[in-house]
Amino acid sequence: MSFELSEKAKKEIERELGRYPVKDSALLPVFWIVHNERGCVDDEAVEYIAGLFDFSAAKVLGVLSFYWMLRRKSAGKYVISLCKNISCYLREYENILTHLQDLLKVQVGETTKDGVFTLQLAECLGSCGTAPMMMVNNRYYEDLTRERVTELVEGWRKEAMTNGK
Amino acid sequence: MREHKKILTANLDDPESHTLKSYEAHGGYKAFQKALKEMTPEEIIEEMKKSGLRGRGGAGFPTGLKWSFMDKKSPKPKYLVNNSDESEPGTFKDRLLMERNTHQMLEGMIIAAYALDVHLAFVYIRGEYTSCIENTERAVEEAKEKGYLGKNILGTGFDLEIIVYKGAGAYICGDETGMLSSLEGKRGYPKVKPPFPAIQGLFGCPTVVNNTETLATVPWILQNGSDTYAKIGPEKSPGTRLFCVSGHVKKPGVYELEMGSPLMELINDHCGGMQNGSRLKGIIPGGPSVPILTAEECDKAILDFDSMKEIGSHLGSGGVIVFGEEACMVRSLLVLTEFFADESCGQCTPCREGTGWAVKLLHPFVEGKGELPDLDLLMDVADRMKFRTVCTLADAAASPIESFIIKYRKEFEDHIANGGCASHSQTQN
Ligand SMILES: Cc1cc2nc3c(=O)[nH]c(=O)nc-3n(C[C@H](O)[C@H](O)[C@H](O)COP(=O)(O)O)c2cc1C
Ligand code: SF4
Ligand code: FES
Repeated sequence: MSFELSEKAKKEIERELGRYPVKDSALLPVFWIVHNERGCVDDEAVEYIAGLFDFSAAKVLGVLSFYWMLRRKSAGKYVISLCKNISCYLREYENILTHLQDLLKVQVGETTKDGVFTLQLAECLGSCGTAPMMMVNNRYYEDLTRERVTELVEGWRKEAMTNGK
Repeated sequence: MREHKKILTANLDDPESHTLKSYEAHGGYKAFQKALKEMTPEEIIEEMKKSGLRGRGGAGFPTGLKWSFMDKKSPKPKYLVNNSDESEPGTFKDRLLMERNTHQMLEGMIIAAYALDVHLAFVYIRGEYTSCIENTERAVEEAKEKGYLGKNILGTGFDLEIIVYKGAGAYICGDETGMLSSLEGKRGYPKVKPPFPAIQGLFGCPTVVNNTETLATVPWILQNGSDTYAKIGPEKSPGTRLFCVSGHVKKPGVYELEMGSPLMELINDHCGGMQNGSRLKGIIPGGPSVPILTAEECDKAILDFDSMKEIGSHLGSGGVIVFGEEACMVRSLLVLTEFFADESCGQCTPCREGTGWAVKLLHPFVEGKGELPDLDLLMDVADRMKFRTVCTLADAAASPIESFIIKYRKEFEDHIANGGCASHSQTQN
C-alpha cells in the first residue's frame, strides 16, 4: 500500500510547516492532520513525516508514542473511550463498562470482529460533573445510563450496516 | 442563598454567550481598548499586582509578579501560552470558559500580550476538548475580522497573532515546562528549573504561561479597577473562583463563588447537599494532587489559598471531589495512584518507580489480601517520591497516598480483616 494523502491534507500540512517560529512545532499538528485522514499514524506515515521534518523515524515515533490519543494502528469505526478516573468511578462507570462489554462482546483494548467498535478506558476527560461519561471518536456522551448506552450502540450499529464500515 | 459576585460567569445564561456579538453586548472588549490606548505595559502589570490575583492553574502564584519577571530586555521574541490543558481529575472549569465565555479569555490574552510585549501567543488546549478547540478557533477568527487581533490592532501599532494548538492526550503537558516541550515538537517532558520560563521558555525565549481562568479574569480587573477586585474575598486570596464539584452531591457542576467562602456553603447551598441522603466521608478540595479533607475538616474549611494551607491541603485546580459514605477509599486511592503512574513521564526514577510500586502495593488491599506492614511501606514509598524530581507530579502522587492512608487507615485495615470491601458491594444500586 503506498502512502498518499488528499490534496486538502497536503495543503493543511504545508500551512502548518510554515506557521511557527521553529518548524518542529508543526509536528503535533501534522500528526493530527494525518490521523484525521487515516485514523492512525502508521509506520508509512511515520516515514513520510520524518521526511518532512528531516527527523529520524525513531525520533518521530518517540514523540508520537508519548500521546495516548494518537494511534499507530487503525481501530474500529467507533472508538469508545470510557473514563475510569475518580469522579466517574464514584458515579459507577463500572456498571457502564460491564454493559458495554456485554453489548459489544469485547474486552477493554479490543475491537469487535466486524471492525465497528473499539473499547478502551481513558483518564479524566473533564466531564466529571456529568459522570459517567465516554468519548466516542471526538464526541462526548455524558450522564450515561445503561439504557442510553444501549440506544447509542444500536444506532451506531445500524449506521455502520447502512454505510459500510 | 448568599449572593456572590460573578466575574467569569455573569452572562452565561445567554445561549449565544460564546459569540463576539453577545460578549460585546454585555460590555466585553472594552478593557483591552482601554489598555492598548490609555495604559503603558508597566501600568497594566502594576494594576495586576495591586489586584492581588493569584494564578488559577494550581499553584496560586501571584499573576502580576509573574508578569514582572518576564525578561523585557531580552532581544529575543517573547511568548504567551494560555494553559488550557485542564487534565487534573475532577477539573472542568476551563472547559466551561472555552465553551461559553471564549472571548473573555481571548481579551485577557490580548491584554497580557500587550503588557508582556508578546506578538505571538498560543492557546494550548487538550486534544480531547473538541468543542473548546472549535469554539476558540472560531472566536479567534471573529476577533481578527473585527480588527482585535492581527496587525496594527485598532490603529495602536500593536500586533498580535493567536494560534490555537491542539494537544494529543498527556496530563504532564499541563505542567508549564512540559507544555513548552510539547509545543516545541518534543515529548512533553518537564524541564529542570531554573531557568524559569520568564527568562528561558518557549524556543529558549522569555515566556509566560498562565491558566485559562487567570487570563479570563484580567479584563474584569482592568475594567473595574484593581482595588474593586482586591476587595472581593480575603486580602491575600482575592476575587472569585470557579469550583468544579463532582462525586456524590445532588447537583454537580461548575460554580463561581467568592474566595473565602466556606466549603460546606458550596456543597450544601449550591450543590444541594449529598445525593441520596448519603453521609459525607471526605472531600478533595482541589484535584487529587492535594490532600483529602475528612468530613470534620470540611466543616471548618474555607475556600481560599491560605486557609486551605492552614488545614493541610490546597486549593489546587478548583476540582472539588466529594466522597459519600458509599465510596471505597481503598479503591479510590488505587484509581488515583494508577492515574499518576500512567501519567508519569518517566524522566525521574522516584516518580516512575514510586508510582509503579504504589500501584503494585495497593492492588492486594483492594482484593482483601494486603498486609499491615505494606501500609507503612506505602507511606515510605510516598515519602521517598517527594521533593526530588523535575516537576511536582511526584509530590502530587504522594499526596493522596499519604492523606488517604493517614485519614482513612481503618478502612485499609478493615479490608485486610474482611478479605475485601465491606461497604462497596452494598452501595452499587
Ligand atoms: C503535572 C502538572 C499538571 C498541571 N496541569 C495544569 C493544567 O492542566 N492547567 C493549568 O493551568 N495548570 C496546570 N499545571 C500548573 C502549571 O504548571 C502552571 O503552574 C500554571 O499553568 C500557571 O498558570 P497560573 O499562574 O495562571 O496559575 C500543572 C502542573 C503540573 C505539575
Ligand atoms: S516528576 Fe514524574 S512527571 Fe515530573 S518530570 Fe519527573 S518523572 Fe516526569
Ligand atoms: S473523572 Fe471521568 S471525566 Fe473526570
